Amino acid sequence: MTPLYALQKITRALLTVLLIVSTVFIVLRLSGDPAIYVLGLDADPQALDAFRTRWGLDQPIFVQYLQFLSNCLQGDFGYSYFEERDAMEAVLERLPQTLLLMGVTGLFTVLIGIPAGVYAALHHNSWIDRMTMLVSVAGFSLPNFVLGIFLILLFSVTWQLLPTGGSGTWQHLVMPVLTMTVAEAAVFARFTRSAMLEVLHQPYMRTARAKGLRWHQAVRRHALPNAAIPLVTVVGFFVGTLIAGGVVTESVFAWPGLGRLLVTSVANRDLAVVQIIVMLIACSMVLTNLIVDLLYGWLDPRVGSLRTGN
Amino acid sequence: MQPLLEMRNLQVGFATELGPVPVVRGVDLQIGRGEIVGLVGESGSGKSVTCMAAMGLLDDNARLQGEIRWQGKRLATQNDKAMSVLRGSELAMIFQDPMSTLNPVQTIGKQLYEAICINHPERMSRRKLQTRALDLLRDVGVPAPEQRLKAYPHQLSGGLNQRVVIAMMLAGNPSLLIADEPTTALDVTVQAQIIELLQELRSKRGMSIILVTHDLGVVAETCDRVVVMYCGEIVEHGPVSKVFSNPRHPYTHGLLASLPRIDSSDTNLEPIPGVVPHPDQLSEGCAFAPRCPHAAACCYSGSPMMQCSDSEHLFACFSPFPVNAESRQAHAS
Ligand SMILES: Nc1ncnc2c1ncn2[C@@H]1O[C@H](COP(=O)(O)OP(=O)(O)O)[C@@H](O)[C@H]1O
Ligand SMILES: [Mg+2]
Repeated sequence: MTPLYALQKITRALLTVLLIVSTVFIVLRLSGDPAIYVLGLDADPQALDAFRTRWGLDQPIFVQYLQFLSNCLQGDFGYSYFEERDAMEAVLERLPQTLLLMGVTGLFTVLIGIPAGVYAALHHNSWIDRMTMLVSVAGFSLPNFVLGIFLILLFSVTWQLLPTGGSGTWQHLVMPVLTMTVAEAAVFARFTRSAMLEVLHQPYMRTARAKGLRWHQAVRRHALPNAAIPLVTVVGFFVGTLIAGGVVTESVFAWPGLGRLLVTSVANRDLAVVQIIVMLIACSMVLTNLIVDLLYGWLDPRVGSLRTGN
Repeated sequence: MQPLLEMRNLQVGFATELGPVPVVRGVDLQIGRGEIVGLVGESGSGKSVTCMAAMGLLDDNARLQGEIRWQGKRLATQNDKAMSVLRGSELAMIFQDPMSTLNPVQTIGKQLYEAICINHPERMSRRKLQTRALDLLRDVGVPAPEQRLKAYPHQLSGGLNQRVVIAMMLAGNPSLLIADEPTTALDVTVQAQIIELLQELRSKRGMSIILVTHDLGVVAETCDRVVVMYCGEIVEHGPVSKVFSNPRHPYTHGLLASLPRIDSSDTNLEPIPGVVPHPDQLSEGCAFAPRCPHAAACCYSGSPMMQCSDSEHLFACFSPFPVNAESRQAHAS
């Protein structure tokens, strides 16, 4: 990986963030007059004017945009009209719960998805391979909310083993994590399997064995490390589905995280909170992809370097 | 003298969705010490599969019958553990496309060290490992070997990569090197260099080489014997001088006739008509009969047996080309 490659990727990431922040600003301005949202359609015109002056909404749009950017840079992300406090504070309070859910799900996804995919690839076309893929398709096609409700019916209503929602104990974590892991591990197993299959048929695997390596040695030293490289690239995609799945799953299980906050804030027209969460999601995607790009460039020497033949 | 490698009635079939496909159909082959044997035939003749069978590297869906012997001992070609001991230390193989034969994300050095370590039971220090790797690279004529150790395969040319692969295969000092079209993917000048290197390996190390190639010119220059394969069978084999000066099988004749010759005023090349049939669409009788200009009625019913042109030169054909005058004279004298 050349420094130029890294610089390119970092610049692109920063530009993307700026683009996202700007888009968020524009969309929120287009979505209507915040004064009316907050004070209501039949509010006193004087109160509306006062509100607009108070929040700078009477300024030209360009000035508002610059003001918005400068506020963001200073860490002022607006006021939650609904919770009546700093919006960032409200969001940060929910962040650990979401990170917990995503972290545990991510861990199980990797622990289940990767071995399943590797195993299926190594036993390509065997009945185990076919079963793994069948389960994976099923897991992937099942919507989170359907699986979630099904689990609640089974574990909470019928067997009364687990709480239907909320958080606090590990029992609360079981069903949300299970719901999300099923879909994520299914995708991961598929990616792992195809990455492995691709690598297993590469000529260098044959060379490794011609040198005297046994099959399992060649798999360990050449196939697994090489298959891990394309897998790294899907992590960005993975984070995206994790966030999307989290919004649904948190709502189903009343999990007090960002996903649920997003849904309730949209319903309550709590624009500052929505804005922060959208930016947070976007930035975490950009950051993940930046890390993936840099990691990829580091793992694969062919990336970002010119061929120098003799 | 006992041959190094011997195949007796080797048959390889592949289990496919359409049923079993016979790809190698009864190959008898012997490779002696220090010999270079050319293996020729059009694409799809089963040359690579024959080689891979000897290495114990056939795909999982392969079904092997007959026997392969190494220095008289029957090889358990399906036993990965037993074969891995032999691979690298007794038999080694190089392949067609050197740009994809090496692991693209590991340095040349790392891959060379691996080859050295596998073939040395006792642990080697980093220093010794590096010295050995540099020696190997020098042996195969890689310039500036110190810098290559840190390079990745994509940073080297195809010819250099092929040399690196050869160096890796020499790590265990094998007695037989199977070279499956080692120069097909390379530039003409580089091709000649690699062939020269192979000849050098034979003369300096006494290594036996099986050279699979499309280039009959290279065979004429480098090989002691030539084996001609068609549709999974050997149709003719013998010393290069005899087979090329007096091909008895029409297929061998066709291969030679489709070759541009410098020493001949005859400029109209005649490619063999038709194409190689797919292994699961073989007709009864001689597999070459449908494309053969000499084919007689009997060619479509029975399979010809191997017969002697002389004690070293054999072919399998019902209506062979006659022994030509040159050869008859050579015989008489
Ligand atoms: N794993 C496999 N499954 C089915 N058929 C195969 C397999 N490997 C090789 N073959 C078939 O074997 C035939 C001979 O192949 P090969 O030995 O590569 O020919 P050559 O090296 O002479 O060009 C081809 O028709 C090919 O399709
Ligand atoms: Mg081949």
